[in-house]
Amino acid sequence: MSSSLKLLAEIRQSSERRPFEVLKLSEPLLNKGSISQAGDDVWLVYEQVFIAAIDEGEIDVAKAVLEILHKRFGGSQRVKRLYGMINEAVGYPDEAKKLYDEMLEKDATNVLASKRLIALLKSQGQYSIAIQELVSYLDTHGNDFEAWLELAHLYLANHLYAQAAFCLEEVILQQPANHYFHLCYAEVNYTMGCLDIALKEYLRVVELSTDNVRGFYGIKLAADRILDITSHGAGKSRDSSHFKVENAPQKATLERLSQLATERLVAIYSGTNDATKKTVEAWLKL
Amino acid sequence: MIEYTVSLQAYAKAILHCAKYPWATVHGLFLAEKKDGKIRFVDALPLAHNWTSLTPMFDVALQQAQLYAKTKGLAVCGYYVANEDTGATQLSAAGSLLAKTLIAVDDSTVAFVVDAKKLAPESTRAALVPYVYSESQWKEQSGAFSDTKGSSGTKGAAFVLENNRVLVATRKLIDERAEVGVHDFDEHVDDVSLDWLQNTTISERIKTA
Amino acid sequence: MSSSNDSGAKLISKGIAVVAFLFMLHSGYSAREYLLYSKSIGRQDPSLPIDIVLECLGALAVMTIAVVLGVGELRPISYEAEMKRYSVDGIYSRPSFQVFNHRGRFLHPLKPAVAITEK
Repeated sequence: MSSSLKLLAEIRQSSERRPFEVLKLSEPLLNKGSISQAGDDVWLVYEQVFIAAIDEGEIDVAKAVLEILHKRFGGSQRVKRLYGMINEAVGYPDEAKKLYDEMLEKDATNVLASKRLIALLKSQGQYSIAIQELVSYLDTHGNDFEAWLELAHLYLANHLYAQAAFCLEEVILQQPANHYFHLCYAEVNYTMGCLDIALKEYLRVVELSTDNVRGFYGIKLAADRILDITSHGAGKSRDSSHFKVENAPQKATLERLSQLATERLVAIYSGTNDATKKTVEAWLKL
Repeated sequence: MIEYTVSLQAYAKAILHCAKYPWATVHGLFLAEKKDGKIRFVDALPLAHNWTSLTPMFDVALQQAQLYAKTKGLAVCGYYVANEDTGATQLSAAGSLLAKTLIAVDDSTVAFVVDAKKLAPESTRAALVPYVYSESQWKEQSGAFSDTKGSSGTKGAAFVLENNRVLVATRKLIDERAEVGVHDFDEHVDDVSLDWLQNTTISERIKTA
Repeated sequence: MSSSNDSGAKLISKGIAVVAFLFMLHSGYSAREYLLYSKSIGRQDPSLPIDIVLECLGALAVMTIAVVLGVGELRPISYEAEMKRYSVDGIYSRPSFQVFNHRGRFLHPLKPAVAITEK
């Protein structure tokens, strides 16, 4: 398998959104026909190229790839969804909605169509309806972590932090060893002012992922903030009753955590250039 | 009347950051030099494209930006945000709160919202909509960056681009997909070797655009 | 290039493992034949001749080594190593909900198009 195909497979695996790169990698594959080296995965590659093409606005490429997929998978629901998506991209959301509604008529449990309908609502800026629809979708599909993440994102866009935290809790329940979810949960809690939970979650992040920079930044921030609040009480400029620090560890532990974070950050930044290193060291002294 | 000038370096870097992640809300800071009551935005520090309404990493990045700015004799008095929803050109609640933390340090801070429609090739206006903080609110300065100077604002703030090459040069950079070279704090935190403060490669490219 | 070498080496290892397994079968058959023979000449409680035992154990050792060496590159099984294949951008990308009418449409405008219907 060529290196381009391998890289495309990696991008598919990590689900990163890199449309420009995908198109650049796949252009020679499509033109020279060497895409068939992918064997059975070739249809996945076509789908990946299609989605990258509509993301980039390369509608001609997208149409060509869609033709190939349609020829092979004529009546498939997955391909019908792609027709819906291309219509969304060229600015015909009604046509797309029609296609998705048809898919749901045929099969009311079609997950792909339900999700695209919610995405349509999002694309038209109707966030509250999108949230409603997503909540009812999650009533039946409570183990769909992607949908919970989407709901969390919609809540955050509307500044409903507590609700977003709830969604992340659901995801963490399903995948407790995935540090990315603990990370977002920590950040949401920090934003809400629940510093004790934020600190605990940041600690979990560095436990699950060695030398996680965000984790250490978070630990230092949270530990220092809690120390600040508990030692100065309500005398600070910000209203400290707004923060929750009841379940935070003792002062000595907090100081040691802050120190640990400082040490690890210095170690991590030891290989960077001067300007960055100096800035970080100055920040650590704050 | 405070005069705000946006240089090519600041404008292009901010717009390229928005171009790198067109599907997401992105935000960042502007560094400015202050002279004789005039404020000139000379550089942009791209911050994040994920979790832009969450505060911890924003706090860290802002503090580091302020330390960096001091070493260069500059001030952090600009905040830009480009919303995921291209129709939303208002400064959102999260944006207002984040920009307010900048006001606490420097009260001449201006918040800019990127208007996606003005990013089109045929547009002749800068894509930034400024918001000035007065009477505990962020007030939009409509008509900013237009040819008629002084046509905007409550407090009498005037916004101009450095020169009429700015839009052309930015358009050139967008067309050649130069945004790959922009690294924001989010990327830096995942790989500390990426320099989000100086962004040397893209800065050089912008200078020669 | 290297992948063909790898698959060549894997093929050889598999071949050796199969041959060694056949030797093991052969030693088992030999053992059975020997026991039947000893019973027919009336010898009680015979111990297997050393060459059959060596053939069996030797073939087992060769087969085991060939199978282990022929399995290819071992991947790390720790969850952390697995997580390194992802990133914040990837985990939170929510592909099923991606929308395409973002500001990229203004940065790189589309040519006007008609609605696209399924044939």
